[in-house]
Amino acid sequence: MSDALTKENGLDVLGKAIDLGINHFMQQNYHKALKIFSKAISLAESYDEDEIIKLRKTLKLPQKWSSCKIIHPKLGSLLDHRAATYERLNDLTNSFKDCEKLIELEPFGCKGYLRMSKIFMRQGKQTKAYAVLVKGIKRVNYGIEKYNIPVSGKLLEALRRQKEAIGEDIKKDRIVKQIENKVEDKLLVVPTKRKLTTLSDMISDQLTKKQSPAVIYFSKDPLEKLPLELIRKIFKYLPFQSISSCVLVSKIWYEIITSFPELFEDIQLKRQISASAFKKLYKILSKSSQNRTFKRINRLKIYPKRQEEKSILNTLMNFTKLQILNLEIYLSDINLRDLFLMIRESKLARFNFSNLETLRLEIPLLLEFEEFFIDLLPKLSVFEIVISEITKIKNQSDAKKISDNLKTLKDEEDRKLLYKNLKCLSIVMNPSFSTNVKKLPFERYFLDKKLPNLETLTIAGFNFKNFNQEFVKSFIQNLSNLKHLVLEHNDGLTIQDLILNFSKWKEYDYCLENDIKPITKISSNLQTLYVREPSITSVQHLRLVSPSALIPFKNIVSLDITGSSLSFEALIKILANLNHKGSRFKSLSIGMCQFIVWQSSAFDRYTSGGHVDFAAVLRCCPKLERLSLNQSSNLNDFSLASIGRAYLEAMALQANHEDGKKEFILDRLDLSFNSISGHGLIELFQINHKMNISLIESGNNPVFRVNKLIIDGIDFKVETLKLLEKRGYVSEIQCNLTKARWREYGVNSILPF
Amino acid sequence: MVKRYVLVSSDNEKFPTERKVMEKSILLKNMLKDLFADDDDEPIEIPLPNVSSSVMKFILEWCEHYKDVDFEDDEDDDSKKSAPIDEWDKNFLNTDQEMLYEIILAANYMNIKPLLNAGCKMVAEMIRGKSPEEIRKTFNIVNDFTPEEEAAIRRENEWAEDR
Repeated sequence: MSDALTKENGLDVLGKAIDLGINHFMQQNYHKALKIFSKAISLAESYDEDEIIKLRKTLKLPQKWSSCKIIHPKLGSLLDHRAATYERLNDLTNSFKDCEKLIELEPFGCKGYLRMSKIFMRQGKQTKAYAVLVKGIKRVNYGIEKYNIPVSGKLLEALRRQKEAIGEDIKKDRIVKQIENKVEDKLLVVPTKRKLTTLSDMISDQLTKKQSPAVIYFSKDPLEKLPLELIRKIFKYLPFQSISSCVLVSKIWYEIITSFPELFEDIQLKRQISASAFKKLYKILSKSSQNRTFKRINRLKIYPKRQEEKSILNTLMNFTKLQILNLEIYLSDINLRDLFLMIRESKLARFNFSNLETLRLEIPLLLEFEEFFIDLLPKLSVFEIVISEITKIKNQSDAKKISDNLKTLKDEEDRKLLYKNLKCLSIVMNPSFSTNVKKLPFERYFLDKKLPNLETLTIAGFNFKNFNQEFVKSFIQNLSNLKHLVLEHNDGLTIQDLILNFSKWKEYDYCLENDIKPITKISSNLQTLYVREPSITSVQHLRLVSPSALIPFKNIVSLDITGSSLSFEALIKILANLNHKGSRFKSLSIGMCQFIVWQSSAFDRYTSGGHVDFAAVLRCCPKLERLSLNQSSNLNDFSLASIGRAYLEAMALQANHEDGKKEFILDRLDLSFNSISGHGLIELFQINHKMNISLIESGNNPVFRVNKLIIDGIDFKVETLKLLEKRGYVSEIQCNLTKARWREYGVNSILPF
Repeated sequence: MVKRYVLVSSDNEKFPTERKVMEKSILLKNMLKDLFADDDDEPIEIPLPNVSSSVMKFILEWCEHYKDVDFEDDEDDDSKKSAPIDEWDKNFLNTDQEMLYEIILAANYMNIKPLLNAGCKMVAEMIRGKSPEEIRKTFNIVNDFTPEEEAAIRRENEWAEDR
């Protein structure tokens, strides 16, 4: 780099040098940091006055104060950084020189005085440190008054606090001196710095403080005023983030807080945590649990810095006697095989993870290897994995190592081992990698019936066309305890496929036809069914589906077929089949279904599968609480009116029963991204008046109302929305105009891809 | 005839108090259970040597306000933990820190759980979301870390979620 260039971009280069130097400094590469700062300083000093004047002008900085030399704007902080570096390297002489220079160049800035006082403190020269601070505060204040020099309030405050703290210390030392003088003159040892390490030390320190009347005691520290049990109670109200601030307040706070292990049981680490920071956490955890047999962590969330994942995992796995219950971890360099081997090969790690109940992982996957993973985690009940990419085997030797590994694993494996604890399994795939995936990860769990107690299954982002079709047809049939099934964004698996494959209804039908008593009972434990299809090609009416095929879906309380290929006819077929006349059914989402078509005027042409007849829906599920009709086909004001009429009809029907309920409350109604107007919306609720006149004599409360109305992406007049709330039709409205689409990412994704 | 009770503070001030109000304190409630009513109409004096008259005024004002409210027994479960402080309590406890600590201590001694919880939450709220420096300022605490210790420990702070 030529000199001219360097100078032209001087600010930029120096700025970068500072960043780089600080980076080295943080990583404790003090020698490297020193080199960089020294180079930058000589560069900054090489500018002549004209250049600096120009530079300061472009930056709109003031030129100079009274008699001070004019300097490059970065020189001050550079000197401060170098002084700090020297200090770390224990080169106090050079550090002191930089401070002197800094004070000479920037007499009205705070940094030089702060740094110099620190050096004096390190040398045990308390009085000198105090004097420097007093001088500094005087000068800085002078600068502010006389020249209007801008000073960071924070730094000035630091100067003042430091001065007070040292002043206090000096006072105390004098008192100690006096006391000790009285006791025995010869043993006059004055500690320059009192290291307080244990709680008892500190408490005795507090006692001496209270005995000495010379010290005026202003503190309103709750930790000194309240007993430990109450302090514990107070801190238990605070989140981990606050706790981590509190340990920095003072020595007493640090000691007391780290003595409560229960404050370190729910740990959410910041993103991109570095290995060294994680080690520090480990230190605090060890300290906080030193009196316990186990370190217990309820919840730990780690999002490691890239390249430091391995080191962080090693630290985590080598914690001694850790019991970790819920772990959430995001990895991108380490794949599931690496993680598996790391846990498998370390006795400590296996112990640490042996009680793990919940594991959420975002991780690259090496296929074939994932199947053994849960063997290591016997207590696991919730396993959620987001596969961010598929790792490819790099070379031949790697491939051989892996196949050897696999062979040993298969030999050792206990085929009969069931994952009895596993209740919830969620496999989410980054769809951009799904073309390369020829089988469902963990497929053997399904084939070998290893999941007898699975209640919740989520599969998202796969292309089922790539899988073995026999597997696709049968994988779900063995999950007899399944209560919640969520299938989202999977190609090649339509809701019709699912219904036809869900149970062994064909055998059942065969038995019925031939008058044999069916052996297989079709279980109907399913409560939640979400099938969100990614791309729709043809409409499905479910006309060929036998009634027995629908038995497993009789007890559903929540159905979400957002974006599915079903027609209205098919929807009604499912709903009409519900047990208990649909009275337990609570939640229906039929948004974005292009074949569930609403009637938009009295003259609409016939559509295959029929228009939506909302009255029929209400007859099937009269106790509906949540309804999503976002981005529906042809839904407009005319359709809204038909919903109103349907409720009116349902109300009339109810009125015939003595004990029938006299109001309809939707907990949630989603009408986002439809072409409806404020008028149509108000008309929908106008049915209240019709109902009121004919049926209901009680009170003023609207009989049809919505707790939360969601109308994202539709531009309504504010007055309309206010009116809805004022009349009590709606308690809460969500109307987000900036949202571009209804839901951009899957509900299941831990992180959006 | 109605029995009269008088609470006596540490500085010997006397507070004639209704039984219903006193029973907000589990300590007093249990104590009253064991007292049998005598026939004479001498008021019963109950000394509370750990509570000064200025604090007693506060405590009794609180008990008076809530005398018709029944609190649930268990206040320690997690849902209650995140519940915000009751608005009235917040105003009531908005006093200087010294007094707040005294109230907390008295509530602890007299076993008035809802008041104790509200008091502790008030202190927690003074800490929540603040930097170490702001916390020191709030409670007038001197930073007694040496610069090196502070630098070392400050790096330890790098792990907290800063959202």
